Amino acid sequence: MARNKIKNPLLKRVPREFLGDWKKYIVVMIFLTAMIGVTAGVYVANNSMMAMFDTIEDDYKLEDGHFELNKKADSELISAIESGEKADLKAYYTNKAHDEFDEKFEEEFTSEFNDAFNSQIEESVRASVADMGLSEDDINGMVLSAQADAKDSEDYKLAYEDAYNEAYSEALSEIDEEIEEEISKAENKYGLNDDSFSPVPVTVYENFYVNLSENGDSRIRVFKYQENVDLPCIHKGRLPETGDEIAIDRMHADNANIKLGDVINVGGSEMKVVGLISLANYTTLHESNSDMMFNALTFDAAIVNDEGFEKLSSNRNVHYMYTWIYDVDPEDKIAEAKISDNFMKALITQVACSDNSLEDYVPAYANQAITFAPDDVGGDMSMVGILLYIFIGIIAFIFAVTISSTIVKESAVIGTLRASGYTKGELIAHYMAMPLIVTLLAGIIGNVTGYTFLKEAVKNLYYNSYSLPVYKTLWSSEAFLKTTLIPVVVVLLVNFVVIAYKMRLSPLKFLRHDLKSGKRRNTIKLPNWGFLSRFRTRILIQNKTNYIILAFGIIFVMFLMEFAYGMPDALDNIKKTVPDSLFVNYQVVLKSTVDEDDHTITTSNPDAERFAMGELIYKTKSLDEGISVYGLVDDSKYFSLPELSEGEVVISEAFSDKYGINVGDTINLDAEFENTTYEFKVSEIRPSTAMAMFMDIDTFKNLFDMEEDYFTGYFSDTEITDIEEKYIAKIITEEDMIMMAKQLDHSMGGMMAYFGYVCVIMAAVLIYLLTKIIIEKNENAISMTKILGYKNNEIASLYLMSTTWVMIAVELVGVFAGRIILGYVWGVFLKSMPGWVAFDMNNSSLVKIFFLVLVAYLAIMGLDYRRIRKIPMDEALKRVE
Amino acid sequence: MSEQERKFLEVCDLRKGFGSGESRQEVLRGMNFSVSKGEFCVLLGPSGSGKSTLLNIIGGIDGADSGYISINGDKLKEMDEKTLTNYRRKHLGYVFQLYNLIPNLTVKENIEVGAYLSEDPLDIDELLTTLGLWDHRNKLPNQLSGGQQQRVSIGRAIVKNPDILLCDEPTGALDYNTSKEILKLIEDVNAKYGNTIIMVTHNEAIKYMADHVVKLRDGVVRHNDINDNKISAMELDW
Repeated sequence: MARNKIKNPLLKRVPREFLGDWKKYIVVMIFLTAMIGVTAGVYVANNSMMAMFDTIEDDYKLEDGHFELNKKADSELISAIESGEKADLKAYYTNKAHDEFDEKFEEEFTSEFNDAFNSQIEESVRASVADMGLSEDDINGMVLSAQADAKDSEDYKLAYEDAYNEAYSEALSEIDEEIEEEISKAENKYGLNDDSFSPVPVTVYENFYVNLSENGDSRIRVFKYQENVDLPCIHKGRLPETGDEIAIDRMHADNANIKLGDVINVGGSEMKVVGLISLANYTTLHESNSDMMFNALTFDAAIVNDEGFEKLSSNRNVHYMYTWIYDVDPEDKIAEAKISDNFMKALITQVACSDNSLEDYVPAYANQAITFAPDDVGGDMSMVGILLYIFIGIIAFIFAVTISSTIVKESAVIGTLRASGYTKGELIAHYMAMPLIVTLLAGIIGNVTGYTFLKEAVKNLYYNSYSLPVYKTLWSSEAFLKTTLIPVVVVLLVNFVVIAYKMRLSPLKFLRHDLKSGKRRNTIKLPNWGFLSRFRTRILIQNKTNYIILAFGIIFVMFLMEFAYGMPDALDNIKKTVPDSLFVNYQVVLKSTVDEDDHTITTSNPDAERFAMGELIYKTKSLDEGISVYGLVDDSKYFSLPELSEGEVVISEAFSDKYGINVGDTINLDAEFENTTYEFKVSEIRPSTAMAMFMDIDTFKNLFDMEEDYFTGYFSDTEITDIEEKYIAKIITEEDMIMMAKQLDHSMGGMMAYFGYVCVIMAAVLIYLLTKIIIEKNENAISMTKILGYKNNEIASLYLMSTTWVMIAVELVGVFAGRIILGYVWGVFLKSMPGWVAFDMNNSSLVKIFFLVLVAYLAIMGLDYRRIRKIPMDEALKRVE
Repeated sequence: MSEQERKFLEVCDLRKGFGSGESRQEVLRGMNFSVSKGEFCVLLGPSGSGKSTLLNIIGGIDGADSGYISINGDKLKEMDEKTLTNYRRKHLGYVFQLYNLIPNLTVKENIEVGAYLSEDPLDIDELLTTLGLWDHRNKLPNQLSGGQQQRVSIGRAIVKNPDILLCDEPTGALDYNTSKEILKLIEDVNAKYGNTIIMVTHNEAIKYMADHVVKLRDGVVRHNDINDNKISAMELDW
């Protein structure tokens, strides 16, 4: 009865413990709350965004993929493509060849046969009248009459028919053989002989666009509004209703400071911005699928109505893009890849059987403008989750070390309680209460802040970079579980293991303050150093667990700091090195090298130099990367090639760095959409940030089976102004090469600076917590040394110098280990996306990180010194009781 | 008194040594005696005589190499750790030379720490009065004198009304007057609550207030005397 009335009195210790050491617990709580808050915010915001990505497909009729044709497809081709069936290439080519043959054969044969027949008659007539002394006119007259008579004869008809039939079947079988050979080549090239092929019926929609300039400083991709696929989400305003209205991407508008109602210049036409939108197929503004990074700064996506499109596309290079939607949704990503592959094979054959050509093919799952945002949002969630768990792990160990130290301090009390009948379980639960309560409280407060304003902050981070549709917050229980339950479980497990291990000793051992298990280890013998050095070394040995946790925590924090400072460095370096590594200022890539009249497109710019360019695919486990293959003219003034033997090429430094390719290596690259593999030997590596490979133009033409006069465009150091826009596919400038760096800087630069400072604070918190434990553990000894007459400075030098040694050593290891690990992580990370940014971290940043952490340590050392000074001399006496 | 009450606590051929090989030291070399229920028994002996080791074995926080201790017929060596903890929880109270109070709990709360373990604890307020701690009940241990702290420690031990109160040099760290006050308190507790008290001390004078004096030397019982002429603690002098 009485027992029920008495609550466990040890419970009363918990709040007092908290109040008694409130600074430590508040620091831990703020730290944990902030971490959990940010993570909860990321989980809620990102989960909501992920849910939005899942509904984009239905809400905004997201495409399953798109392809681009060289010219507008007729309805017959569209129907054929929609069937998903492969075209009968053989029948197509055979019929085509036969038709052409039939068309020409009779005429050609008759002419040939008649020529032979006539000359035979003529020969025979001339022979028969040779001695008659007839005039040439008479003979000609006789020849003509004989020829006419002979043609009327049955013999002629029979001879003609026989010869016709023989020649016809001979020529036809020759043609059939040739076709057979060509078809077999094509089947091999495109991998069309796939037994597992099954037709993939789709619905195809027109989604034509033109690329134009916007206000002279950006490029804008203007689509014609249609209701069937890739619908816009309207953030502000409305859709265009007249020919001079346009709705543009919200994010780009924000970056380019374009407001609703502004009039912008689109390819020379004045257009009024009536809507700010995001397009379902441009959640990130990737101009090209091979771009490493999206570009919301100088690239825009927009829609206009039919009239507007008519106006803007007139006399311009229209991109005949078609989007498709599968009639039957694939079950998963693997099925999607498979059916996309089948669809592409069918598409290739259908396009080949029409008078058209396939310019581009991008299934949605491989379209960066569609997948980059969800991949990033999902990846960030995992990353933040991992960071949280690492920090929770560190905090859990800090708690465990604190409690271990308390257990040592309260050893006699524990012994007494155990001797009085308290069970191990009761004491374990008692000592675990504080870390669990602190973690739980931090979890709850963190979740509340995460679900309220931090979620908004996280959302804004993404909405300041991505062109996402309108966002609805979804409350996620997963966020609470992952940010509260799991941290509590981690703290519980770590502390349970450590406390239960401590508590395994007998009450008697606790009473005797004998907390070492097993046989007493011999004291480590130290060399014959001075007394103070030996003293400090003993402190190091005594607190080795604290120092190990401190080392782990500081190295981890320094790793994060190196990311925070290294990334801007790498981007700055790109901006600095790109101009030097560019071999030419302008690359004008032509859509077609001949105009409507079949005249080669030329320029009068004296700097211009022809080049050929294609793309091959370098396949790795994580990525199929497009490599630009350049064919350069002999004695090029922009890129002089060394002497290259057959099969030898020059590659860019970026290509070499990214995949660890060295001079002398053999590399294999595949043709896009084709089943052909090319093998090259690397002869030289040249500085260039592009993923590129170089060879001479003749080798290029031979390799890709191009005509003698083939080229792709012009290199020039000065702007080429005399080529009509409609013939230009794209212009690559220095600005394009550094745009990725600029966009990354814009998206993350500011955040990185804050993140750097947050890391310094994290370092300070770790140092504060762990050095506090060391000093508290030694309060008695410090008090005693004071009684003995040591001055505060001398004591501080004893207890703080050991930590200083450790800190300097840990910082040195942290700076260099962090650099190496980050370089590795950077490489792994970038290998999963196209392009390459060399991780060039400035030494000054390493020094800066070293000193920032050192300053954090020195500040905490000041607090520690104050703490040492405050320890009273009677502390030692009190403890003896 | 029944035979079981007379042999409430029985120490039978108890042996205990520490270390191994040449450095092995036999602390208890076959000890035999018994203590009656409600008896105030003093274990007397110089340092190293084995008295604290014996007390720890009786308290179930140390084990013997051979022989046994039985309490109310239950042999401790037959108990597993869990049963032993339960045994300590239900039947034993411990008082040490160092008070081992919980520094951030008040006097009353420190006593509640003991009360929590009992299904039938003593009335805490009444006990605080008995201990002379009523006015100090809301103080923290560091606000008390050594004697007051030891009173709290005794309160913590007896509040659960244990069958046996084990006291290990309870006055070892106290001055003469305070020591006598503590001994008086233990005497009063014994009289009031009837607990069996086993006190380890090296202070010969204390034997005069005990019912039963067991003198130990070199790990064996040298004298096992019943004191028929015990005097009050306040009459002790040393």
